[in-house]
Amino acid sequence: MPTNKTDLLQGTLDLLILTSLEAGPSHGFGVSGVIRRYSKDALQVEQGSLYPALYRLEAEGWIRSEWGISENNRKAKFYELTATGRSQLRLETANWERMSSAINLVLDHA
Amino acid sequence: MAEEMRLHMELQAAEFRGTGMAADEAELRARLAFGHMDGIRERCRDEKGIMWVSQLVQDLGYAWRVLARSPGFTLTAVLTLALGIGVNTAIFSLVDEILVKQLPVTAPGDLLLFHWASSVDLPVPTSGRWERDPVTQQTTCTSFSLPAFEAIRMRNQALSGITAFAPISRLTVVADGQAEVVELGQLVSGSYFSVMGIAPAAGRLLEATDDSPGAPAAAMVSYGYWMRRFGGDPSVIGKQILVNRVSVAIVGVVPRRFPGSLQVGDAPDLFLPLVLARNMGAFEMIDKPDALWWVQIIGRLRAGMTSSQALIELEPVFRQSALESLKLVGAPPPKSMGDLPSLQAGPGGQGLNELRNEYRQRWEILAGLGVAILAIACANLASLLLARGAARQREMGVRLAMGAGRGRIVRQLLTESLLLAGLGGALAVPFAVWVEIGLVAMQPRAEGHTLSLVPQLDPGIFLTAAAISVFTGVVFGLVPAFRASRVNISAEFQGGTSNRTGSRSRLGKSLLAVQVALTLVLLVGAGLFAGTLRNLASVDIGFESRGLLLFDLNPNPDGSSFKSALATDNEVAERLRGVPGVASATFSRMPLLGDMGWKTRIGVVGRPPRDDGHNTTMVNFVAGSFFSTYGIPIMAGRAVDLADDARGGSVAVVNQAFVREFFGGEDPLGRTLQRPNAGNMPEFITVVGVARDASYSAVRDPAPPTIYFPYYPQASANAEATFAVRAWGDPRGLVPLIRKTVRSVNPLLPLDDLRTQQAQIGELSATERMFAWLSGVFSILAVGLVSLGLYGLMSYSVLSRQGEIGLRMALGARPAQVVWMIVCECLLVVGIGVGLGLIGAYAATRLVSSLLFGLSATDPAVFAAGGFLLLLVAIIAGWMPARRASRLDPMVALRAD
Repeated sequence: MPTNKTDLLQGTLDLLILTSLEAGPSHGFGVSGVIRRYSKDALQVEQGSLYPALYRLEAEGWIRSEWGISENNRKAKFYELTATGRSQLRLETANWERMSSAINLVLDHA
Repeated sequence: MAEEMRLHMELQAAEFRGTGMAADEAELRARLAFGHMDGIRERCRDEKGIMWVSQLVQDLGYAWRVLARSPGFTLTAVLTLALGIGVNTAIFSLVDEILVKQLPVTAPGDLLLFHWASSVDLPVPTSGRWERDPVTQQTTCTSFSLPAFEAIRMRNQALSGITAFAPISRLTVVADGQAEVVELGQLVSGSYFSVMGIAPAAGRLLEATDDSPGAPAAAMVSYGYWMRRFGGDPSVIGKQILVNRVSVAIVGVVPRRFPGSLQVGDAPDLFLPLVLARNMGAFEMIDKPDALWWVQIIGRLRAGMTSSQALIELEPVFRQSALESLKLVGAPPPKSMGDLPSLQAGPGGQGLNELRNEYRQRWEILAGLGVAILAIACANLASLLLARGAARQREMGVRLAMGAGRGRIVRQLLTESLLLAGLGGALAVPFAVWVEIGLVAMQPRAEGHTLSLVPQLDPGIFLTAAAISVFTGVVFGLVPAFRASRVNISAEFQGGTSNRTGSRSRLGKSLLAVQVALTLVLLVGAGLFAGTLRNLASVDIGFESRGLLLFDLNPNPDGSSFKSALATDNEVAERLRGVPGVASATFSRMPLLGDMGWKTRIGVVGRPPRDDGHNTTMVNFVAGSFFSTYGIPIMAGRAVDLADDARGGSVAVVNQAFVREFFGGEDPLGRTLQRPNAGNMPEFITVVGVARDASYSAVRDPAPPTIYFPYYPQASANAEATFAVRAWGDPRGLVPLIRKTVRSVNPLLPLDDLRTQQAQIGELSATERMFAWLSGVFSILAVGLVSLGLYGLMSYSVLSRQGEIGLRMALGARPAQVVWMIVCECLLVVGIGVGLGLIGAYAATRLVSSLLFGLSATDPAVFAAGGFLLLLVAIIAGWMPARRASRLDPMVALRAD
């Protein structure tokens, strides 16, 4: 159980990043763009949170990075899900659904 | 990482441009949206997980820059550390070498060194050291007779091997036509090297076959001698050399680290079989060699046996041989079996122990000195760092405000301290080597041998230095580190320095008080030793020691022809007297105050022997002009001269102490003395003269009863003598002439150990001089450090009390009162330190009371002088900051931060 707000947000951010990489490898800018678009501009991930999160996920082994060429012909670091990352994604998604349905139940009662 | 971020910004800018923004505004917006790049980079790095290495590098780099910015502090700190660590490393490495280390042989723990103990005085001739067991009051000695060794060896079951050995000194060695005197050799029995269990560095070991009569004479050389004399030439194996005129073949080289099993610091250059002892002249004036107790015995325990089992087995044969020995010298048989000496054994893994035991006290004192220095060094560094910590409060505040965690700050400060410790430790290593060499050089010569210790630069020193380094780094780094990080940020930026005098300066003050206490202990020590030296120098030794040059000759090393040897001595003396610049020359068997002695029993015909057992006198054998050369006046009768040599030992001169003790003050001239066990020396001696008292072998003791014989054959079969030359001016200028004179008598005769009488006397007080010098140097350094510390502490105190001082002055305090206030604070700290120090010194100086002479360990003058000196230092150190304080403009002071 997350004990403070930052923990909750951090865990959620991990989930969002992993989800956005599920479709395929992308660089940091692309990931933030995907999250923005899918949430219809509701969630704007700050670069200050995005990149540390990417590095953390890489340290955990859930994503891996590779240098490649971006769409405007510049060198960019592309991230993609690893196998353990995929299973972690499934785990976190299940967790999220369990938690959000539990909260909904409580809210419905009040 | 930077590139990644840059790309993100570019893409973001492109996106903004896509929405219709101008190019540069887009870029600006993109950059703003991105945020602070460095901060993000740091957090990314945090997440990356290899942070600690790069942070460590960062810390080290920053620590280096910080230290470089305050060179005064860094230099003081590093030097203090180097001093403390270096001195301790040197001292403890030497302590290990001298007191602790075992011989580099197989299983040294299994070796037993035998000795005997007796409650009564054993009237057998012994060569070696006697000691008195402080607990049982018995006389103990490690020397045994050769028949005793043989008997023990035959009987032995409990030991896997047993061997006998003995030192032999001043061997004349001729190799490749070059003659020289080898200071020390070791005679060993056939089983020696197998008992020790070592392998030769070259050639082969001496074996049992070499130690049998009639076997071709063989010898081994030490590694050092092999290098020095033969340059490590492997062809030395099989080389024939002359040792004391006996032709000997070198069969092997002893391994480098093996120093024989003699006293600590003795390293024989030659190892010879025991059977050659007689040929080498070891029994110069012993008519019955079987009666002489002169070999030391070491055995190796069999697996599973204990030393008590060995003793139970061997004691009966030892006692039997002791009985036979007594019969041989014609001594009366003991009244009961209990009067015979008992056989005992101690650990033999370090060789002979007597000198080591003597050194023990000295080295323990040195160890104490070293620890005191280290404590002062640590205390000084701690207070230095405390002061620095206080001065860097603002920096800490800024760092905390910018987001550094407390742990990070602690780590940073700790890194600084460890870097200091590392630098100090690195500097300490060459310093330690230098100190070690100095300490060894300061050791007194024992029994004429210099302490043969080669300071080893072995891993032991490195590890010790490193361990002490890290330990001191942690100890003094932690306190300021934890303190400095406990900073209240807002108070920092608002209040400034006004409210922090409390506990921090208390710690600083108590550290300083501790330093003062330790410094006082050192000062008292230095004062006591200096006083001892002064007292020793002012003792009337009874002869004129200035302007005398001494050297030794051994014209007949194998004892073959005394007559020609004595003729050589006389010839040299005659020719020396003819050398221009020489006032007089003489020779004697023993030098005066040369730490050598000859004692013998004597009685007076017509007077009963004293029943308090004091029937012995010191003896010397002297040539003509002895008394005039040494400046000993003859009070009555005449001196002995050349004509007396012919009468050989039946006339003698005695000194005043002898007259007091043996004649009760009656006139001794013409009276007859009697030797109890004369052997082949004349039994009756006529007293022909009385000389003034002169010190014999120790400055500390009053002149003992002494009898001076003319130099006759029984003095020494090989006529070895110490020559004394008195010159009109400085005798040292005559050295080349003296050498030429000796060479003109016999070109192959080596002139040994040229020294001045004063240098020889100085040797006797070498220990006291060493301690006086060391404690003097250390106390000067300590006083310097304490002064710096006091100055710093007082300066800081003035700084932090600026407001208070300003207030006082505004309320009417005069400058003198302000000065007095500050100086009082200083005096209080030092006063407490002096108080502690007096107690500490009182306790500590008891340890050295046996070394003192002419003053007690609690000499009030020395204690008072030390205390006053420190109080004076306190006043001086506090004076300048105090004057600064008194010059403060109250308005400025009140408004200061």
